[in-house]
Amino acid sequence: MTHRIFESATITVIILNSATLAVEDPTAPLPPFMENVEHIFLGLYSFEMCMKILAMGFIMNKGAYLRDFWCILDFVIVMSAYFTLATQNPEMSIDTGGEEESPGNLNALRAFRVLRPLRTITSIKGLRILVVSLIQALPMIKQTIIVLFFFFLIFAIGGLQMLSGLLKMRCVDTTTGKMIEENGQYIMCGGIEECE
Amino acid sequence: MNDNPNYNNSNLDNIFYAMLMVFQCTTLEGWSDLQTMYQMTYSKHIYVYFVSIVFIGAFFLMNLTLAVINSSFTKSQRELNAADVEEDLGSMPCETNNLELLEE
Repeated sequence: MTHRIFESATITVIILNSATLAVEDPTAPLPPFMENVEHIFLGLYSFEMCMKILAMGFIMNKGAYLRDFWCILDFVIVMSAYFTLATQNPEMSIDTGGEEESPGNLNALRAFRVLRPLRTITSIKGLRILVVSLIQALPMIKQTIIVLFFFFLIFAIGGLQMLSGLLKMRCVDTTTGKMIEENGQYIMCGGIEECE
Repeated sequence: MNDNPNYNNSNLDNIFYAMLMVFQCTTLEGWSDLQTMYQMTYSKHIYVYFVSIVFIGAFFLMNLTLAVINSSFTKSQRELNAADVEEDLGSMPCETNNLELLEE
């Protein structure tokens, strides 16, 4: 079995891809070779996915690829990359009429790439245990969250009854009716602050 | 009409803004500025309101939530680790039912 080598190769690819995502400058246009690097990474991901599907079966049999939660995560990430690639294709984006909308849409789709470092969770066993136990712990904190919410509600209602609208009060000159200004800011008053 | 401070965001004028402000005080972010502003516009004794939010909310309830998360996290992690030791330790990430296949 070569699965240890396979696993560490996968992790290496993910870490390298995270590095290329991190050094990217969003203000400058993407250099052409980075585009190629993207495609190489996508190819590597697809290769890994195909190997797993060949080994495990796609969806029908027991223990198949798409029956494991973590593999579904991998699958969605790779498929979103292909989806982005398909919509980025110039022939397909001409239909919008060359308006300002198309770059915005493409940028939104590119945001799917931030999910890629998530794949380290799939690859490292300790990380998977950590995430699973965090999700399992969620139902147990329900009561505390409810108590916290009621605390917020009680104090919000109390403040609403006592203090609503007060922060709009400002010092006003009674002879002219203008607000008094100090260092470019209007002064609040009504409590301990006395207007002269 | 005048605006509220912080681009009209800090106020207690309706329930949503009020909950936002209580949340802000619970995170201990700038709560003393808010207290000063209410002392200027309402009464200097309003510190009772803000200090009790900070004590009950930030010091007590927030840490209670964290403690509950921590204890349940530890518990489920122990269970998962125990279940994992029984299983095949060196299995591939996605191979969950390897043993059953081998038995067949």
